[in-house]
Amino acid sequence: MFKLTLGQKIFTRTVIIIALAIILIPLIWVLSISFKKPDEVFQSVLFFFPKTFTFENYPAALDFAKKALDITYQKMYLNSAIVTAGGLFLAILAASFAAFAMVHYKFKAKEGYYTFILLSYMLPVQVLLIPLYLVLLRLQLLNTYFALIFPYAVMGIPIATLILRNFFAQVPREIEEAALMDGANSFQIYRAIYLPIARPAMATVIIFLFLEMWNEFLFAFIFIRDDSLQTLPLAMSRIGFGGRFPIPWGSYAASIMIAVIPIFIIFMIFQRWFVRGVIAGSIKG
Amino acid sequence: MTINIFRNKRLQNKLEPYTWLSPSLILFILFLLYPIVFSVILSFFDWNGYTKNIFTDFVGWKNYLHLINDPLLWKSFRNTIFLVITVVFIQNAIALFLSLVIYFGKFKFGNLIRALIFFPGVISAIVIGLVFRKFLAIDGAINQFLEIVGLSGIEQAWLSNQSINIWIVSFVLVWQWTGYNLVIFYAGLQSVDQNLLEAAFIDGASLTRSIFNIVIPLMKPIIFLSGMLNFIGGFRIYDMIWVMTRGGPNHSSEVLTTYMYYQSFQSKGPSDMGYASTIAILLALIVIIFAIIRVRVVSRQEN
Repeated sequence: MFKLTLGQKIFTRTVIIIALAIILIPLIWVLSISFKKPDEVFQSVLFFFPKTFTFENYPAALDFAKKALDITYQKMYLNSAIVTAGGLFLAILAASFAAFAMVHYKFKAKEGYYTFILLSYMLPVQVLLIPLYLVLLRLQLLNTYFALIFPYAVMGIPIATLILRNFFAQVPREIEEAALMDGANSFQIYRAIYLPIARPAMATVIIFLFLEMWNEFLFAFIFIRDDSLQTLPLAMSRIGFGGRFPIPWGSYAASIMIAVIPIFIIFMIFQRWFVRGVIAGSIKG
Repeated sequence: MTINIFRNKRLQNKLEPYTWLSPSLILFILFLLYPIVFSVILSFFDWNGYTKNIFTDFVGWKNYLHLINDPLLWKSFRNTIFLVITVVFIQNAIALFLSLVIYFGKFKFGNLIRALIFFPGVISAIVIGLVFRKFLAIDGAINQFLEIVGLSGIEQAWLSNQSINIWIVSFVLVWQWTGYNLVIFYAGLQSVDQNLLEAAFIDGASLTRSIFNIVIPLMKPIIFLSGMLNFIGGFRIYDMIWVMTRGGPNHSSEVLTTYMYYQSFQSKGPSDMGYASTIAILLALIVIIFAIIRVRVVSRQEN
């Protein structure tokens, strides 16, 4: 098989070193600032490593959130977790039912529903902003977790349906027919035959949707006005502009790290699943 | 799930699939279809977002005509197209190139390299935006670096420069999302038939030639899908602009999504809900037209 020539070896190594540098430098720069004392921040950028390590920026960042954004990080994480979990649960429940219907039954609207799902997957969510606001207002859901849970579920259902439908299609007809002969009803077939087969798909769907919902900003920005309900991206966005006080560099960098590090750890542990989730979400859609 | 209230067994069988669809349908009707219809209707009205009765001021096609002679809309449209072209062509080209380098470069830590390049795509655009706002700030890393290398003459607040800030935002978008496309391409490369490459190698073809003559033609469907994905994603870009420039200064980095926000919810904005709905519909139409093309192509590939 192909062996790299020396030239190719040097070329590929150089390319990857440059690529990694471009990706990592901004992140490492922020990380290093989060450990620097204020007087050291503006000393030369080339000194990535602080001369004197300090952890004082982290408690300062926590204080800043409490004072300027009126929320603690625990609460931000909790809020994000609640709306993400709620949206995920609804989306997967509804999508697995729909995918089951599309595989298990023959019905007239099937083709139409499939096209509808494909189109709604591609619709920019911003299009729904104004009327969704009014719908939520009418339902008295604004400023509650449900103001995000329902829209997130709707955002997630199309792609979840598409992926699960592909997996459900692998259920062998004979098993299904045998179960029907034995008098199993459709819910039993869904639970005992379809769901187990889609277990690996579930993991990829969950990760794909998790990323979308966890990082969602615009709906949270418009539908949530109550400071105590801010999700992580919403509160973070206010660190840049909207906080009531200017924020020192050290706390700014520490705030970013508090938002990033947990995700980084989860990402490194479940790396392979993240990759699979993204591939499933993009190719199978 | 089966509800046995139906005397007629056949009617029951007919309705059963819809019972399973109903949770999705209810959510779609309430939070997707009704809002879309509402937007279409609202686009023919003037409404400032405050008065109680929404549909009193019917204005016909006025909002649509306004689209044509609104210079800010055209500015936003041009910026949107610029970002879309960048992410569709440049980002995909870089991702394809890197995936080939990693795949054929046989790196010991290939997985780790891919993961690190992919990682920014996992973080919210808001946080990435915060990183680069400081990086590009007047006292940020870029300017500190320029000073060291003796280029202090071009130091500036980069995101406030009206003629290049959209370029900077597009760079950051590419920075964040290249890994995403890379992962997709890499999966495509892993499914390339090794026998074909083996045969090319035995025939004495060079690696570069084999890549251009065998691998890239085989990757065409995935390149197309990835491009389509970026195309649709490109029209959705909002968070990054919002956190980095807020569409400014002076609307210089506005895109359709931020301009729609400006017209509707932004405090001190015009609060013109009818016109904002018209912009939303324009955005939806552009994407849906291309979505239909994609659906056609995908179904042709499946056949």
